Amino acid sequence: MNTTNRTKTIALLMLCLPFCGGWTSAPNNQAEDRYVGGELIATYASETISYVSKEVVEDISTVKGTPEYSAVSGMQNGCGAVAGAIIVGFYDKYYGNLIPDWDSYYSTGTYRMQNGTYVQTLLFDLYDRMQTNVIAEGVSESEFKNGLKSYVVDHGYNIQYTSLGTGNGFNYSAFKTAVTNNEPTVLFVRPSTLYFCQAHSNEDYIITSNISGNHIMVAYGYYEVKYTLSNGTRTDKYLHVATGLSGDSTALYKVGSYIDAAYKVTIN
Amino acid sequence: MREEHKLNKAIKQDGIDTQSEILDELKRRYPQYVEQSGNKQAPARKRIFAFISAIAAAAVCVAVIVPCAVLLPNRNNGVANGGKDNIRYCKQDEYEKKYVEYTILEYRESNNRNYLYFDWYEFGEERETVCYSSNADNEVLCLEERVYLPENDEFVQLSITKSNIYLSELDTTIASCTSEQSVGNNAVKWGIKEGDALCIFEDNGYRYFIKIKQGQDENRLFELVAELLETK
Repeated sequence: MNTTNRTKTIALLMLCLPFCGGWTSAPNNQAEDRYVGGELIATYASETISYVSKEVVEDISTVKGTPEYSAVSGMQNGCGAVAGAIIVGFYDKYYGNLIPDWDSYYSTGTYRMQNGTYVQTLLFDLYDRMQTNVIAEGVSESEFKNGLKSYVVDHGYNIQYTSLGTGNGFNYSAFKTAVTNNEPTVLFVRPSTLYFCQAHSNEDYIITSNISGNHIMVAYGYYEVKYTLSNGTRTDKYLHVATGLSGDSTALYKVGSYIDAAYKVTIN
Repeated sequence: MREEHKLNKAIKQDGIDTQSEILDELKRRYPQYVEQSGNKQAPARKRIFAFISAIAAAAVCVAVIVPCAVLLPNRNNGVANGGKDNIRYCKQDEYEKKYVEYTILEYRESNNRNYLYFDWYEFGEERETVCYSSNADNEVLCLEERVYLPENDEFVQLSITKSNIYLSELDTTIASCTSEQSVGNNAVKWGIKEGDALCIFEDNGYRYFIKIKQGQDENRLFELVAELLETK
């Protein structure tokens, strides 16, 4: 083999190596999608639905919804930690050692507001456990799940993630069952649209806003409404979500929107 | 359109220079102000007419407005009364939010601000104050106080900004407050968003946002506005 041929062979081998399965210098989770959070952009009224009659078919949520936490300063790309804290705050009502020395709810069962001591400590703990911004910006799905699991296990409990589908295959009926069983669901989404519905007499005013980045949020209920219009009917279906975003801590998310992943989260 | 001009100016200060970028940014932030705007080019005759009109307007400015501005007393529209000039739009990465120990009342007294406040410090079960400050110049952009009232199982949040400051995270609140009601001499815009009762009003150069979590009764909002106005 002359020098030219040897060089060609080496170059060919170099090109083929990444496809041989042995080329694993990059960590697996580097290839995963990352979730960086973001803010709401382009708020505008997208639609006014004028109706003859309106029937709220179902409007069901977990007991008292969920806590409504959001990122604080020093938590760049911290949507994973916020969603994790919402899950922990939700279950602290039932498993009191999840947040030591503090109850996440008032005596009425209403979730307490975010505070600068216990919730902030929880947020930063999860932020670190999820390795936020360590490999790259934000967190991956596995970093989120491992970080939250580590926190829950260290506080003496177990956690299970049950997939409710990916892409356009979100299992809406399983989600409804989860809500009925008072279990929240964590959603991994691409930049997407949130909805805010305002009721007026004989018309609903739908405001939309877009999340600027890949985001993690918590779904805790569903809302189905049927309109009788002058020229027919329409039924809209939404999830109630705790967005983890400051200023708009809860919103509606349209059923059928593309979802990277959805997991019902059970702690016991 | 005056509002659009102010926003246009504010966006220029953000470093967005070209006209098309400004229009895009305005459409994104405040579509209601720019919905008629477009990039259609006027015919040549119209452009000449517009050019002559602009020169005439500039001449009027020099002849009338400049002497007036110099001769009239200089009114301070800045920090003390919240000022209306220099609209400032801040995205979330342009400021930081910190929990602070002081109350709105304490801040008002130590900084000589004429903020309205809820005098609930003795009976609110839990209270948190959050300060939003600009990364660029450390200016306090917003003070927010959250109080839980156990007797009503009611969670009330009061946020205060200067009238010329817009925070991106309050965009949907502004968009949601579409109904209007007078309380005293103040026009109060209000709405219900995701079960939360919201209202906005301005007083003496400041804009006030009130939110009652899961508070479906707008009359309660108006009571709270009246209570705030009593602290003038």
